Order: sequence, then structure tokens, then C-alpha cells
Amino acid sequence: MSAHSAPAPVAPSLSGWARDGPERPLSGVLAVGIGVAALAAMAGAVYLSAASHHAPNPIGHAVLSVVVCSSFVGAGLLALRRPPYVRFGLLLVAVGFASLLGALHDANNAYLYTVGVLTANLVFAVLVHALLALPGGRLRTRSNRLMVLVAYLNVLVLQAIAVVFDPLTRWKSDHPPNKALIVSHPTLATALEELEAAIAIALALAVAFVLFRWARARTPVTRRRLMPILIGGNLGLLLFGIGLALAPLSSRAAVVGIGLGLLSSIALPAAFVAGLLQGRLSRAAVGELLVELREGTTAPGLQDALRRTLGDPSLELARADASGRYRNADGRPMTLPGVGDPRMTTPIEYQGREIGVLVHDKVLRLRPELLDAVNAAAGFALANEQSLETLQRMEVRNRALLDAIPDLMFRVRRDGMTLDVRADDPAALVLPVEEQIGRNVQDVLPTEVADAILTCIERALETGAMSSVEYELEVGGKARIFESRMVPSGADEVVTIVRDFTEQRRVETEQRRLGEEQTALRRVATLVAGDAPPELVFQTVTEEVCRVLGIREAVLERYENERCAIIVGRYGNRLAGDFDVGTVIELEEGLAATKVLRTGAPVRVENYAELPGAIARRVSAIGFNSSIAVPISVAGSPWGALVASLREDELMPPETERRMASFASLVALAVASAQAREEVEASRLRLVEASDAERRRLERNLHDGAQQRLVALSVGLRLAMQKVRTQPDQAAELLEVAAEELSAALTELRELAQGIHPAVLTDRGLEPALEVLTARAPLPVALDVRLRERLPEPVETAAYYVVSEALANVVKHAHAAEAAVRILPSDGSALVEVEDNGEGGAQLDGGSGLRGLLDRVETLDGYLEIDSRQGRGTLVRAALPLR
Amino acid sequence: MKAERSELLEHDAQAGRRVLIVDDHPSFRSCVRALLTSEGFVVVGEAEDGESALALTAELSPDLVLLDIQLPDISGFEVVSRLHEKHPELEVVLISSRDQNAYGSSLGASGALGFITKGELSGPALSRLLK
Repeated sequence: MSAHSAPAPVAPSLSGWARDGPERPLSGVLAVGIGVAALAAMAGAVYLSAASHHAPNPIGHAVLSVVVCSSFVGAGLLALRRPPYVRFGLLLVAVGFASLLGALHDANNAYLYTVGVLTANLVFAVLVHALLALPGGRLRTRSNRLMVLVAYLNVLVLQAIAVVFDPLTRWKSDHPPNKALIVSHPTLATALEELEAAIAIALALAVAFVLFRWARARTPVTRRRLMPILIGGNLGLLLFGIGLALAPLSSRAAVVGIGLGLLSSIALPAAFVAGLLQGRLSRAAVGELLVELREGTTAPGLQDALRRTLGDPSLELARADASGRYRNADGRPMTLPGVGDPRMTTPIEYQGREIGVLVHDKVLRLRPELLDAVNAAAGFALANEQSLETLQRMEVRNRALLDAIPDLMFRVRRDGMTLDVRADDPAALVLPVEEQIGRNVQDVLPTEVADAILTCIERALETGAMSSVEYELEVGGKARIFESRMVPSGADEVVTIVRDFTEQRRVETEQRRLGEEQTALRRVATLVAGDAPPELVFQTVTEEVCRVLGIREAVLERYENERCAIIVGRYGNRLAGDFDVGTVIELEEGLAATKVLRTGAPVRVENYAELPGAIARRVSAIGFNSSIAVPISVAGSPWGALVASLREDELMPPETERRMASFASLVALAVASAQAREEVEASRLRLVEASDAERRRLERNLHDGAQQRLVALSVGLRLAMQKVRTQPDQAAELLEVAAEELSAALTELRELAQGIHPAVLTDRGLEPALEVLTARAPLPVALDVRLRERLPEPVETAAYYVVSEALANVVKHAHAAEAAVRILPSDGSALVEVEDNGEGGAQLDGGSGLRGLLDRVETLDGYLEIDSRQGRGTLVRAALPLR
Repeated sequence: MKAERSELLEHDAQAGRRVLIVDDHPSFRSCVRALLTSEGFVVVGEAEDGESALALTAELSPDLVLLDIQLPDISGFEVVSRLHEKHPELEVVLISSRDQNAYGSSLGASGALGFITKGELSGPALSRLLK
């Protein structure tokens, strides 16, 4: 039930208050004035009754007037000082005063008597009014207002009409004459009075019906509080009406009825005062407020309820936000009243924390108990509202989270019964949603999967924590991997989120495989980089390939020529014996290694049993069905093949060749590295040998040339010394020979020194040195040097010796008529060319001289090439980097 | 003076001995021939290599072979060995442009009578070895 359809509150409607402004308590002066007036009126009534010549029971009537009037006026005065009961208090006062009008009926004065007759029943209508306006003083419904109108018309207008025709003679009393009598028509008058009585009784019953129905919709507490009022008030009305009805028949009965009615109606002020004094009405109002709040209310609704409860339409409820600022019911920031403002604030606290304030009329300070109660209720409401907002935010967030999760969600009972399913993609389910709900996982899933899930459910329920299980399941004809995460959602059930991990697991597997492959490649690369022996690299490669591909056997073959290959690496046991390292394999047609050699590309051989050769038969016989081989090329030439031998159960995916090629590249690198290393070793050895040979040649030349001449010179000089005195002529001849020997020795030494390192090269550079060299050549040599500056010393020396050795070869072997020497700059290098027009046919390996030159040039990272076709002369070209 | 006198006496004792000169340099051979002849030795022949030395020794039967270690065909050490196979009493003096450090223990093991560097070769030096 919404707040808007709740039973009408005890307090007057909002619209009524809003129209009339805030209800204020009656001022004390006015209240005192009303009290004094009431006392005076009661004194007057007592006087009229006591002095009456015709009142049947003057004392009784006087007492009745005082009791009834004082009860209603007294209660009314109390209510007039306590909003929201001011209006009701006025009605109570009105009832009190109206009850005194009956005393005019006892007046001896004919006019007063007539007024008394005319207004004697007014108290009935005011009482109806008061009862229907209980307790706020305002009529709540149109029907209520209609009934009150009828009541007033009945007791005033209809009564007046009856009195006009009533001679008032039927009671045989000596009361004064009816001054309002126009036409004496007792029968009509009686009929009209009976009609009035009937209407009064009907009104009494109607009021009783309305009030009891209204009371039934109140809370039990409210009903208990209202019941004395309702019973007393309605009984009073009914007895009053009955009294009116009996009046034409018996004045005594009428007096008794009306008197009892008035006495009964005293229950109304009595109960009101009792409730008021005990604060019960306030609590009832707060209770009503709480009932209303319990039903739930919006922010403006709460404020309206508080306004109604406190009777202050200006009341505002301010909520404290997180930053400590206050916001009104619409959520807008608001300023609290300051000094001089007719309103004041009362903080609303909940559990020691200020969560808002009530901004209300200062007059409510007079109702501290009500204010406290309403404040407490407001505190509960605000705290509840905040909790509700928090809960709603959490619910929205949780729902958003749940909606954002693309996974399957199940609610499953401990025994495996599926209670609920949420699936954005029904295709991910084993069964349609409607068939899955209510089915046990044991009936839907394979036994081992169902058992695993049930175990996981048990674990989650026992530990109270998240539990997960991973399993493989065939869905839509495809095997998929799922992970179920379960958390308890009740004492005997779990919520499980099922996620399809197939792709993730595939990626993980692929990453793991790649990682293993990279690790294996790194192990091999480490060996290669560490200049490990090629045999170790070959063996490791076959082993790592088997490990990475998950196969059992692999071999590495090196081509010896186009007809055979030799096994240089092997891993696996079955190949042992027939295909050990060192075994020469004939390259039969159809073998993987043969195809690789022919095509230079990776190949697959599917069925060895169908191949014709002996090796294929042997391979097939020891259990290999197929193979994959990739080429190993070194310096652009086929070097060998890496062959994975596969058994029937070893089916390799398409990317296998690519993976094997990575290892083949490392093998090629290892081989190239080893070859380069060997080449460097050989080059170094040749340099050492050339150096040794050169030293030997120098020593020989010295020994055979200059040294011998000097020795002979020494002997000749000693001989000349012996003969200088005895045989001076012979001594002179000996000295002449000695001088020639000395000259020859000097020449030989000079030439020798020139051969070791030409001084002109050091002193003046390459071009002058080459000019000397070419000038000494026994054939015409054209020299063309195009250098702008001197070359670095190592380059200059290498260039000199290239020319020197090449020219020496021209002289010795070419039988050329002429030669040309060119030194040219070329893209960061010096280009040295020696060309002759001889018979050609020279080879790099043909003589140690050119080989030595090659080593010298390669030491400088240069290159040496020879173009020497038979009969076409020879061109020796060396490029020497200038770095 | 005493020493010089002694050397001269030793030299006289060796004078007249028949010498075969083996060296591949003709100018050196002619100088040595003139030197030894002037000092009383009789140079019976000259050989330019090892094989010629073996042949001339067999032919001329010299008392002394003055043998260069470094010959164009075979080593002087081998020539000594082969000479002593046929002429065990033949005296052989090895000569070389290098000093004896260049040959180490090979000189002692060669079976030759001694070793003289070519720069120090003279009649008295030869006589001291032959005494």
C-alpha cells in the first residue's frame, strides 16, 4: 500500500492547513475570557433553571448544565492551547456553550423561553460537528460536511418551523407562551418535531457508522484511544435523538433522554482531556506518523507527514549530506533559519550522529513531548531512508555488476538441483534454460564432471568461501573448458558463475609452448654463442626439437654431396644403431633429406612403407611412419637437413615446419660460426707461417748475401794485411776485391731492407713508394693513383704489398708485355687494382703469395678478388676499408 | 810474445797438411784458399756442396776437410757423418757465418774436430784445433 492510499490521518488534511495558515494556540487572554464567559453563562443557566416556575426538575437541570458545559468548555480550553487541536477545542467550547441554551427553556420570560425552545437542540448539531471533526476540528469529507449541515438545518430550521406551529401545550405545564407561535397546529408541530427527532436519530446512526468505520481503519492503539470518545459521543447523540422523539409523548422521557444524551456526550471531552493530559493523542499522532513511515514514503512525503503530525505547514525537513551541508526535501541546498526568524531548528540525531534538522515554527516548543517524538520518528525515517538509499545503490550496483558479467550463472542446491539459470548465450548451455532448471547436474552432465561440481558445492558450503572447479565439457559438438566459481548463497545452495576458459586455456597453452620453444632455442643459441663444438650443438638441437615438438626421435644430417649425407646429430633410441652419428646415408629418392636437398624447402614424407629404397624400408621397419624435414643452409648453400621422424600416433600441426626452421637457423649459425672460426684459425696460421717464412727468407738472404760477402771481405782483408809489406801488389789486388765485395754487400743490404719495409712508403706515402716499385719493374707499368690524402698506415702498407706481390707475380708468371696499377677511392674504401695483359689463368690458391695477400686484406675487413681468365690477362682487385 | 811464439810453432807443425774447402760461396773459397796457402797449408781442392765434398774426399784423400755447415744440398752435419762412415780418421772442421750458439749441442754430437766462425778463420786458429 502506498503512502497516498493510506487511511486518512487523524490530523486535518494538508490542503486545509495550507489554505488557512498555521494553527496557533489561542492566546491566554482569550482563553481566560472564554472561561470567564463560560462561568457567567453557566451562572445564568443555573439562575434560569433555579428560578424557573415551570421546570420539572430545576436543580437537576442546573447541575446538568454546569456539568456538561464545564466539561466541554474546560476540555476545549485545553485543546485551544495545543495545536493541532485548536479547532477541535473551539468545537468543544461551542458544544459547552450550546448545551447551556437548553437552560433558556427553563426561563420564566416568554421570549427567553421561546429562544430556548428554538435553540434547545443546537447542542445536538454542534456535537455532531465536533464528533465528525475529531480531533483536528476540520471536517474531512464532503459527506461529513453534508451531515453537519443537515444537523444544523434540522435543529435550527426544522425546529423553528415546528415551533411556529406548536402551541407547546401538550406537557400541561405553566411555561411561558410561545412567542414564536404563528399558527397553532399541534398535530403539524408534533409531526415536524417527530421528523426532526427521526432525522436526529438517523444522523446519530450515520455519524456512528462513519466514525466507527473511520476508527476501524486506525491502528489498534488509536482505536483504543478513540473508542470511549466514539461510544460516549455517539451514545449521547442517539439518546439525544431518542429524547427528541419522545418529547411529544412525554416531557419527562424527553428530559431523561436528552439529559442522558448530554451526560453520555461528556465522554467526548473527558476522553479527549485524558488523552491530551497523558500525551496519548500526541503519541497517537506520532504512531500514525510511524505507521505512515512504515508504509514507506518519499522525501517530500516524509516532510508532509511531519507537517501534518506537528500541525506546522511551514515545517521543512533538512537532510545532512556527506559534506555536512543541508538539503531540503527536493534535494536542493538550504539555509537554516537565523536570529529573528520565526522558525527554529531542532537537530535530528540517530545513534549519536546528526543526520538532519527539523526547521519548524517556534511555537512547537510548547509541545516538547510531541516534538521529541516526531523528531525521533523523523530520525528513524531518515536513517531508514539513508539505509534504503544505500541498499538501493548497492542493489543497483550489484545488478549492474551481474548484468555486466557475460558468464553463465546458476543457483544450485547442495544436492545438485539447478534452481535458477541466467545465460546471455543459451548456446553455451548443455540444455535449454527451461529444461535445465529443476534438473540435477548428475542428470545433465557426465558423471565425473557432475561429481567434481558436487564436491565443489560441498566445499563452498562447508568453508563459506569461494570454491572453484575446472572441467571439460562438450557443448554444441565442441569440447570446451569451463571454470565454475561457487559461493554460498544460502544454507543449502550456492551461486556459481561458469566461465568458458577454452580460448584462455588455448592461449595459455600456446604461450607455454612458445615459452618452452624460446627456452629451448635460447639453450641452443647459448651453445652457439659460446662457440660450443658443432657436435654438441647438433646433438642438443635434435634433443630440443624432440622436447619442443613432443616427439621421440630426430636426426640432423649434413650433405656430403648430392648422393649422400652423414648423420651429425641424433636423439631417440629407435634410431640408434642404424642411424648413429657418423652414419652415411644414401640420399634415396623420396627420403625427406633428399627432397629438402632438391627443393631447398621444408617437406613432409607421409608414408615410408610405400617408398622403394632400403633406408626407407629400414625406417619404416623400426616404427616410423612419416617425417618432417627442414633445410639448413650455410652461406646460401644447402648444408644439411633437420629431420623429425614420426610414429603413427605423432600427428604434427602445420606450424611444425616453422618451429623446426628456428632450430635449423641456429644450426646454420653454429656451422657458419664454426666455419668462420676455422677460417680465422687458418688465416692466423697462414699469417704466422708467412711471417716465419719471411723471417727465414730474410735470414737466408742475409746469410747467403751480405753476410757471406762480409765474411769473405774479412778474410780478404786479413790476407791483404799479411801481404801488404811482403807482396804489396797482391795486397792491393786483394783490397780492390774487398772494396767490390763491400760495395756488393751494401747493395744487397739496401735491397734487403727495401724488401722488409720500403722506407719511402713510410716517409713519403703510397704514391712515391709505388713510383719506385713500378720504376724497378722489368716491364712497363702505368701507375694511376687518385688519392687526395694519405691513407691510414695499415691500409697504405697493405695496398703497397698487394701491388708489390701482384707485380712480382706478373714478372714471374704472366709473361705480360705491360701492366697497370690503379689506386682509386671507392665508397669508404681504397680500391687497389693491378692488371696485366699476360696469359692469365692465375688462381687465388695457386701460390702462397696471393693467399698471404688475401689474409692481409681480410685482416683489415677488406676483400681480394682475381679475374684471370686464360689468355685474357689478370686483374687483381683489393678493396681496403678506410675506417 | 811467448804465446805468439807457441802458436807459430803449432802452426809450423800443421803446415803442409792437405785441406779440402767445402763452401757454396766461390769468393769465400778463394779467399780461404789464399789465406791457408799463405800460411803453409796445402789446399787440395774445393767443393760447393755436400755431395761434391763426399766425392772429392774420396778422390783426393785430404787430411782435413774445412766444411761449411749450411750447404745448398745437404747439411754439413750429415756430410760429417757420411764422411766418417768411410773415413773414420778424417779430421773435419766445421765453419759457419753464425756463431756456435746457433747450433747448440749439434756441434758436439757431430763428430767434427771443431768449429770456427768464418770471421775468425785463420791458419793459427785452424792449427790450434788440429794440434
